[in-house]
Amino acid sequence: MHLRLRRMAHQVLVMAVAAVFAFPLYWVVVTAFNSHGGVFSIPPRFVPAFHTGAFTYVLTHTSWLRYMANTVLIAGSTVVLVIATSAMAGYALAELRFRGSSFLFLMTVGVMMLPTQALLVPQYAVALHLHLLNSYAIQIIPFAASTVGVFLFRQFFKSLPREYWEAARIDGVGHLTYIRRVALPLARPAVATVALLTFIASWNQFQWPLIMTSSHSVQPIEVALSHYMQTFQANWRKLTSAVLLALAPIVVLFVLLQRHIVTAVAGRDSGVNR
Amino acid sequence: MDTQLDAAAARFPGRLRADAASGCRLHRLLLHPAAYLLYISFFHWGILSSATRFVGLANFRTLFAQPLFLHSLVTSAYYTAVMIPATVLLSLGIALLLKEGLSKRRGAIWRGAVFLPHVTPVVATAIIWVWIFNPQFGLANFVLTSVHLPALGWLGSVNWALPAVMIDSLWHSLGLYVIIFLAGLASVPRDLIEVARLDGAPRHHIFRRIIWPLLSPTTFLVVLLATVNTWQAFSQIFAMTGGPHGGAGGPAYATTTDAVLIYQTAFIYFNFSLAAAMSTILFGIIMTLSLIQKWISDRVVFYR
Amino acid sequence: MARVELKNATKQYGNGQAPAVSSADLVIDEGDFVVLLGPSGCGKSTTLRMIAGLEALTSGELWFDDRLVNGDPPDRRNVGMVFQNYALYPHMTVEQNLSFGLKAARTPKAEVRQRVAEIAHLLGLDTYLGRRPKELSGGQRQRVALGRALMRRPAVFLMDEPLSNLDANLREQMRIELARLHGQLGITTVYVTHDQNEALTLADRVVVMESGKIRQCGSPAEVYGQPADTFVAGFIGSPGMNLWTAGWDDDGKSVWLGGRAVCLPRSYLPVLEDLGPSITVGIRPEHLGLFRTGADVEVVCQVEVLEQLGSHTQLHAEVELAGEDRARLVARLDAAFAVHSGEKLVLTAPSGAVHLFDAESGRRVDVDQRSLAGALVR
Repeated sequence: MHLRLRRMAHQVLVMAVAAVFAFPLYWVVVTAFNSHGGVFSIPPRFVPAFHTGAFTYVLTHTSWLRYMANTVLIAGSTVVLVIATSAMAGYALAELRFRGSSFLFLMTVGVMMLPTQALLVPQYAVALHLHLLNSYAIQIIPFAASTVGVFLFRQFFKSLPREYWEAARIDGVGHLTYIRRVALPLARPAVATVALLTFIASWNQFQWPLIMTSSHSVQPIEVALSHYMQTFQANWRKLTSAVLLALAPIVVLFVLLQRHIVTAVAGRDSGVNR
Repeated sequence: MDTQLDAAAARFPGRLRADAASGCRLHRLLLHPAAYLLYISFFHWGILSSATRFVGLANFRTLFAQPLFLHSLVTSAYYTAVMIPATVLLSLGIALLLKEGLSKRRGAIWRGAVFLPHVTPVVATAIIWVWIFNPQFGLANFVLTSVHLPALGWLGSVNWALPAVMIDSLWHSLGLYVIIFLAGLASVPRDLIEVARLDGAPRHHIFRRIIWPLLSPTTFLVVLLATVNTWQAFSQIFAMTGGPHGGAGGPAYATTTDAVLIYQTAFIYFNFSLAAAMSTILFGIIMTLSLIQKWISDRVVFYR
Repeated sequence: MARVELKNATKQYGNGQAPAVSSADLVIDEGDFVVLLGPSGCGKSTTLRMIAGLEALTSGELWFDDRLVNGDPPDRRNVGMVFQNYALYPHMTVEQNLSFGLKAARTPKAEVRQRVAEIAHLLGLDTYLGRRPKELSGGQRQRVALGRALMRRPAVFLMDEPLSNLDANLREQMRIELARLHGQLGITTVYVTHDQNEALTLADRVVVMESGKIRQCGSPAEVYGQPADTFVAGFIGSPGMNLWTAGWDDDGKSVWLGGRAVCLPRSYLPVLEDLGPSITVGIRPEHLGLFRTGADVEVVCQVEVLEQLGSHTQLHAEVELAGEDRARLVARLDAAFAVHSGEKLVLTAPSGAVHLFDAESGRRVDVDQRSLAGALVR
């Protein structure tokens, strides 16, 4: 009996914690769809109404669509590039033995630890001199080589049994054919992981595009939102509608792929039950 | 385009060339700026003009004479000093809480809810927190007043602006650390805990003597990550107090951390050399902290 | 079909450790089934991999027929290899796994298809061609692995502990299959295992290895009946040969080993005199029996444990050899043999069952029966 009470209390606590975390997102929805006066009412309304005026305004009267398209383009391109480079680099580091491979790997991992914030100024200078400011390229290329990606792919390729490659060698199969027909097809979980992580990171970029871009034709949604903060000042309904539009794709993605995302971040021992 | 790159890559045959090249490119993009950074900070640097002259340590001297810079260092330190223990304690606590329920399939939902904020764009969620912290209509003050506590000025007040930012940051980042701790907890062998339970050890004892030591590598990782991330926190601070919503840097510069100041100096006042000098100092601080933590961990962390 | 020869082959990994394989000399005749047998770490797998081309020889030569193949990559040696874990590509069907190598070599499709059908029929895989490895049982996967190795008509067929992942029943079945296959195809085969049963039943010749050295190379009967040194003697047989090292002396009537523990016939005297004050004597557990009067060899021991195994009784006893700590004895006796722990017992063995080894080097000393007979007459 005592145990059951304990279990129930525990469950309630868990739900409360989860609620605290989920609540602000819920609040976005409520605020966006609230009536004009309802937003400023005290005590505030907790139940969502369905006044879609502000929401449709944002959809139709702002360049939101453009920003969204930018973000999708940038995130998509980054994912493709990252997978291509990381898979190759990861394979090279895992399978091929050449002088300095472990050194390169250590450097790659070490770079992960660098404070990126402190490097923004010189990176801006580099971008300036390369005439890449205010372009799609500057938002994609620096992120095309991802240390996390290389790391993940290397770990994956290292986990492939050595015998696969040896059996192939005995049959006279070369590196390229092996990669094409064995290593890559088997690498789907790693590809999915890297793709997910890269997509999310790219979607959420703020400071980098803030610094590197200045016109709305290439800016992503996070920067757009900071513009909206000025445009919509106290018009919370419109502002939160914009927020909702920015959040929705990510939240949907998350709900669908939650298990994969968690495994991607924490690796196999995250307590995920299959 | 880059002959040095090609020369390096050419040492490896065929396929390897491509792989080595991508590796080289990566290092180019990240190491090169680091060296450049050091270089700029010793110059008075007109970014576009050719009026660049070597001024040695003048930039650094100017910096340390500026009260705002010193203030930003203090602010950053204050922010980090509160965030790290809070992060570790809260995320570990939530992880322990969630761990029990994870064996059922339903348990995954709660973990997902906790992790969800982490994958959301920071500015987007910062906006909603600004609204929550609105002094007149926001939820935060509503909650406070309904339990008869005084309403606070939050982002408009000198004392509560940074805590408000901290709350948002915690909300956003805890999910990641919870997941990391969950992974760490899962790697503690169940046998050890079961043996202790059979021996009749009370729960807090099991935690202190078994779980906590075995968890130390994970804890170290969390502390390290949290340190690096909080020192460099920018987006949410900027969004909540820094730029678009007025009050650049918060009331009386209450939320002007190092990172924010660097941004303002470089991209609002266009003083690149000072910003570079600040960045160098920031770089140094973080590296030092990381090394100190590594040194501590070598003594304290128990690796199996 | 190729004849494989290793001349003074050595494999050294660069850390200053002992060599994995040292100075191995081995001749494998065409069509022979040779088993490399030994405990973990003895160098048998390394030797196999050197033959395959997966490891390079640090020194020495490797010949296939009259070709020196040291520098040849694996695919040019025309070998087929079966790995312990089968190494089947999980995302390919059986048919794709089988045809992978040939397709990569740009073999015309018709030929590939025909070959696959041949191999599948040979190994009973016809109905499984469309399945993926995870849908197959252990034995079936094993056969696919065999099939893949045979696809290119290899000159040498290599197997690295292929049966260790199977359960006992399956292992026996597959052993018989392998023997049948070899009889049918007659390909030169090199087989690595640590399991004696497999070795003794499958091999034309057994190569016993230990710590990187080849201890003995001979037929199963030779390896069992004339072990070249104490290691082989103790390794082969289950349980292995009893080995006792002690000083001997002659009391005029018989030769005694280790005080009063083991009694040997006087005919051994000439041989013993050549060897020195101490020797190692070996007797297999299955050759020790209950006391019979007039037997040649007697062993005095003290019973410790009796194990009733149904078909026979295994006796564990202690032999008191002077100067040695505790010499153990294992004997295989008929079932239903009742004796108590602590009792003293005398066991006997025929003289032909005694093996002599040099006490220091452990090498076998051949006891010529005729010289024994001659000594008796004397």
